[in-house]
Amino acid sequence: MPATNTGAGFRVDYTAEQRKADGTLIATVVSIQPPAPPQCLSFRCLLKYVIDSLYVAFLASYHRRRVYYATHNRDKKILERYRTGKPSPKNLWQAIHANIKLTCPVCRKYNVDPLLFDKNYRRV
Amino acid sequence: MAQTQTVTNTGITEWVILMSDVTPAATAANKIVCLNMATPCTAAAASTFADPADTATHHTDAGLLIATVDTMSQPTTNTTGDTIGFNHVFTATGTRNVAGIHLCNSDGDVTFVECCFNAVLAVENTDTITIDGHVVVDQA
Repeated sequence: MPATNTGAGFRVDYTAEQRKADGTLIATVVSIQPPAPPQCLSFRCLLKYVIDSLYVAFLASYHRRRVYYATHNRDKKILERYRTGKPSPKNLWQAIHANIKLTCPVCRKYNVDPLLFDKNYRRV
Repeated sequence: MAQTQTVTNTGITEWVILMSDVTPAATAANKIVCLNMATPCTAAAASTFADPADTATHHTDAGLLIATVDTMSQPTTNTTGDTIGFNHVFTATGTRNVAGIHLCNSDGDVTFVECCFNAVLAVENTDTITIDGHVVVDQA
């Protein structure tokens, strides 16, 4: 009998929340799923896969840095988004912004995006 | 490293044995243990209960050791009851690093699921870690 691959399988999702004894949230770890493999060999399909892969890579980098930042500032007041992970970047562009913002102490403190060059440094 | 999670090869084998009932020794998933490693690990299908990912080991104290999962459930993701849910709260009794978790069988000798966190959680005495996980039998 020929081997048949139905594409079925197990998928694992999880979250892990670290809290102090008084219930104060320290950091939240969330799982990230790898991008779906391309379903065709057209340029459009392959390009989408490349963009999705880059997005997942930047997203993973953001959450890694975020959790590290949150756990190492457990007793300080930081933006809640770095403790909860929400809102999470929804696309490649947002993921790049989020990474740059997280590496910039001034941007973190004042909640501004260094890549948005309007007159008020839009808060995102 | 990104968050990684996978069902292990030994876990699949244990589940199949459990379903087919050919080996009475197979037991269901209902225990959980935290992984100890100073740097983030990478979950691998080849990991086993005795040999977790990378150089990780199981915690054996400080409230992070193997324990019966607080709540096992059978929620729905795509098809009715197609998901194994596990929810557990660890309360640390000391300062430790937690790099991930293993979902194990009730005998405590087979790992079904390995999850590696993206960043190591540095837990201190009285901190809690709440794990909420799902294993979906995915038809997509």
